[in-house]
Amino acid sequence: MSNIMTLIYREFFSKIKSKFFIIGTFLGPLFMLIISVAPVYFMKTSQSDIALGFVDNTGVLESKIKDSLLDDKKSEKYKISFIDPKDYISNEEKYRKKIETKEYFAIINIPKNVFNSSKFEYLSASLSNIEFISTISGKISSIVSKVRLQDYGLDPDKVSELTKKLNVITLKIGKDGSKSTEKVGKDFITAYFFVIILYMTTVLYSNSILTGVLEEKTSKVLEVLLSSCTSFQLMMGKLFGVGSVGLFQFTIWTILGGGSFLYLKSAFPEFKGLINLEISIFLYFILFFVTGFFQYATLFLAAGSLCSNQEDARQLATPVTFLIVAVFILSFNAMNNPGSDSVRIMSFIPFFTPMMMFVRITVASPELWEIILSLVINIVAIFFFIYITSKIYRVGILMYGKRPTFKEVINWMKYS
Amino acid sequence: MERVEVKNVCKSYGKFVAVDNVNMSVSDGSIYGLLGPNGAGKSSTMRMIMNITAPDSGEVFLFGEKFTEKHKKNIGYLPEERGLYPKMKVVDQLVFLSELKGMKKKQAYDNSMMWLEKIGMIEWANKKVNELSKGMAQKIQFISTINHNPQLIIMDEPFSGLDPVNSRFFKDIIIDLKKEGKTIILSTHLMENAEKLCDNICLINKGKVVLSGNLQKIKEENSKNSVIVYYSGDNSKVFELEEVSEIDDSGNYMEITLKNHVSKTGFLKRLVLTDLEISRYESIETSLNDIFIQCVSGKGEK
Repeated sequence: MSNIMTLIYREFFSKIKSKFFIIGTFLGPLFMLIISVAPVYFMKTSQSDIALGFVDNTGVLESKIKDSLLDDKKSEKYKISFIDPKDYISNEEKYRKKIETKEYFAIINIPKNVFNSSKFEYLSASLSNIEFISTISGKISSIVSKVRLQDYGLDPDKVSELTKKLNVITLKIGKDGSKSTEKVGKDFITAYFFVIILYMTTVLYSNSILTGVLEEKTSKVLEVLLSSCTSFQLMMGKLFGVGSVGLFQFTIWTILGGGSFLYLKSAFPEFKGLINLEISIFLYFILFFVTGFFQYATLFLAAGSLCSNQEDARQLATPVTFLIVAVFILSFNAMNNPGSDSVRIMSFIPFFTPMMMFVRITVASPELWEIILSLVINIVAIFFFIYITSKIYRVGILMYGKRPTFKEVINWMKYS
Repeated sequence: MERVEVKNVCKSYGKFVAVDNVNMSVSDGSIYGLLGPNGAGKSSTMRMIMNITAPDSGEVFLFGEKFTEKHKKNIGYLPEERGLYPKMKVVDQLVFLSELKGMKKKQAYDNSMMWLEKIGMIEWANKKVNELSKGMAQKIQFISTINHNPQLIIMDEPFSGLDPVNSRFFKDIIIDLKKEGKTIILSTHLMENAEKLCDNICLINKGKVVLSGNLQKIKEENSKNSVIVYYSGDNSKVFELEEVSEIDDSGNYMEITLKNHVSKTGFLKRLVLTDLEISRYESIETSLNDIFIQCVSGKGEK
């Protein structure tokens, strides 16, 4: 036992002192923050510079466009100018140049017969900003509709009041039958966020097991270690050592994340409702990280012990990597339909449980017995995997050169 | 007391028989040499002494008891394929390996520093292993084997790949260890080293023990009873001596094989009486190398 502790200790401290860990732990969250916040931020700031030119051939829409686009309470501000239709027709070339030189971000040409044809032109150097185009299109549509209604003798305000869309009130029924009025989106954000982290860390740490075993094998340090401890101790030392590095990283992230969450909550009250963070989510996250890690890590460990070089090992581990990716993709689908039978069944199958059951817990409300049963199944599976892997590992780590065939490996399991 | 007893140990990998019914007995405080050509089964035998690989059949006794895991604490092992963690600091590495042998951290650290001081590498204590030269790494590996003060030290080809300076250095340490009462098993294919260091040897070829026992006795038993005499003058009288069984005369010197019971000193007294002008009289020692080659090429098949 003390040998295992010594091995864990070495594994833990050599990993957390590595540049990789320090960068991953502190720059990782920063990176995630940047990629999630930056696009929103850039979109918000850049819109104030958008110069739009309107060519109103109908002659009646100018004031309405101004009202609609400028009196918007949101931060969207456009530089709006109106171009005389006659001038536009005679100097079309000139205006096209102006679009090219970005003097106008876009020119919107509304034809005289817009009320019948229901068509207008959007001219821009860039058509990639689909969301923006649809915003503009929506606004002009509603202006045109209003004019049509008026022409028909109806009061547009009355019509919009009468055709008002219904609001759905979503109620999440908890395990004790309590209901809470949360927005649907919230749980999805939590689920997405944690599933991505779950996936990334499982891949990262299982791979680190693979490289670790290979490093010990290629540096031939294993034989020295084997003169002091058993192969089983080595294996457990590796699994628990790397696993505890993962838990340590989460602890740091939780403290950093929790700290900034509390800060944001007090600084920006409106932020409060955005993300649903409960302590239980963290606990489940850690629980499922540990189960997932042990399942995939034992497979990577076995793969590493069978090979003598990186290329071979990567190749051998590819099916396992595919499995993780498949489960990850399936778990995203599961978020849309967490109650379906297939998701329910998968959440009990080892390798699927960690992400699937986690999605169910965050989005749906599985029974407690379901969670416990899935964990029991997984723990039994982990013991089984460790048992099998220990037999492969024991022989594999002293083998160099050609990778053994599948049949040979099966033989090792039988004999040793 | 016998510190290591290997009884009827066999190991095969698939159809290949690596070790075939090997018996060894290593007495306390001695240096035991495991000799043999490459692929003879030396490393496999060593691994089985520590149960790194389990023997297919046979038994290993250490310190008078049947092998258990706890015995590993009292063994220092230098494998043929040297290996240390490349990214770990020298001193951390030594402490870690000693801790695995059950040593307390503080003690392990003190010992490591003592050894680093002794081998003149104290300033490298906080360098990573991959920053060391190969020779330095070998030295570190060597002291990592003995840092925890084991009673039994097993070294697989300790001199392979060493420059003469380091080779000498390791030899001195091994002799010191023996003086301290440690038992050392080493394998080598360099007979010269074995001849200088070992008290007992075991010659293995193709997995089988070909020859084993006290080195001095083996050499005596395998020596041809012969001398070389450098001479001038008439040597015809020598041919008539009754002690002589065979003479290979080359003009300036002759190689004389004596009859079995004849002592070389006694023969010298007789030789002087023949009035031969003797410039040099030399006893021919059969080197371990000769014995080795002889066993491996001829007797090995037996």
